[in-house]
Amino acid sequence: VCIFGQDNSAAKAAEQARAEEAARQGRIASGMERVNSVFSQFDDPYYDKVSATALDYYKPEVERQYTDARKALTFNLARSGNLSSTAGADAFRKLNDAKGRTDVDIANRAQGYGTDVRRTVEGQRNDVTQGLYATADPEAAYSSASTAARLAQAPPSYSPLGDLFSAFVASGANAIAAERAGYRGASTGLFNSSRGSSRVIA
Amino acid sequence: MCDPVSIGAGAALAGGTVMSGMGRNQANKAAGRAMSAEAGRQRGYRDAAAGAWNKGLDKIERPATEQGLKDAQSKRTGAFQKNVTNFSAIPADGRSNEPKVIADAYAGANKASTDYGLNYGARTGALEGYGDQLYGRSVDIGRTRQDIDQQGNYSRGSMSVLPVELEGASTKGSTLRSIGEIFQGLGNLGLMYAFTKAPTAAGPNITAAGVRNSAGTIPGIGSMRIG
Repeated sequence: VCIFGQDNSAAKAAEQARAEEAARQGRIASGMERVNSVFSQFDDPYYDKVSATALDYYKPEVERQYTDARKALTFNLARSGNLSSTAGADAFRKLNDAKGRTDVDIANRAQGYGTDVRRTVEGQRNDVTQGLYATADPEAAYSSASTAARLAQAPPSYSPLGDLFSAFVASGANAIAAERAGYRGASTGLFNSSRGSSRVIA
Repeated sequence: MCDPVSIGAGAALAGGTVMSGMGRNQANKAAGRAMSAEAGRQRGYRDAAAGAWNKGLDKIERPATEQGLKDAQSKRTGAFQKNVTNFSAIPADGRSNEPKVIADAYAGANKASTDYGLNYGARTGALEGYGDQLYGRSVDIGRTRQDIDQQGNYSRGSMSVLPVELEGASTKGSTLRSIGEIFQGLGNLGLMYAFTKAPTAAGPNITAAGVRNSAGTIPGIGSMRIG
């Protein structure tokens, strides 16, 4: 009788092992579905929103500094009598060029925040997936994925902007004033002043 | 040799041998089925992994790469240029009734600055587009690797069950083999008994106690009697 029993138990053990492996694979598949579901919120519109939020953080500060710089340059040029002059237009061009560059640079920085968040999310997703493969435990994977998702939704820390335009205000007005005074200044060539350190000796 | 014991023993031996063979055959077939099923599963995992790999590779082929780069550069450039100030739209501060040459100088400067910003945005976008495309490719490769890892995980898990299945297969037909072996043993015993019991005319008679001839003496030992 024992021999018949041995025959059945070995076959049953094999069937059970196969069934457990199939169940393990099923758990991984369902776990992956849950991971995909949790991470599906992190799509292109989400990262675009991160970038837009970063831009919203920087843009008002840039505009405030630009408005102040523009006013200061206007006053400086008016004080020196150069507001209505091509030299004044040139000074504004330099300030505006800097503003144009800054517009692009802050947009670039904002896009960088979107990319950084995406990099973090992808790393977390990879960790969660590897954990699922190792444990075949969808509940643990779901919990890790949810935690990772919450962490990824936390706002990134933004670096504040420094002083952006004051150099152009000072250099713009001062350079024109200096040129008017006979020095090299902004090299506009607009002021043909006899005042200077050089002197023509007859 | 034609007594019922010999015939029965011979039949038991033959039957036992056939049953043992059938039992072994069942075990071999079960092992073959297990290996064949596993080979099929492994083929499935391999195909799925190859499919994931090819899908991932399609995304890095030249046309897809070129298009992806264009898209990334275009998206970046659009995001940058959208943020560039149109300086011509900013009202002039503190200037009025100025000569046309001054107004033109300001208008030209504003346009130049706007164009400069847009151009700077396009150049920066073209440059940053490469980084975006490369990063997007890394993400795609990472996802492809995850899919392949999943199939590899299934493959290893399935393969680890095969030894258990082969162990189970090796016990298939064990009942037949055991019964056959019992019959073989009985047949052997029967034949041994029949050989022992069968009287011989002149030959030695093999017994458990030794070998003796019809006279009851061991040849070559003289008149020593045995038993």
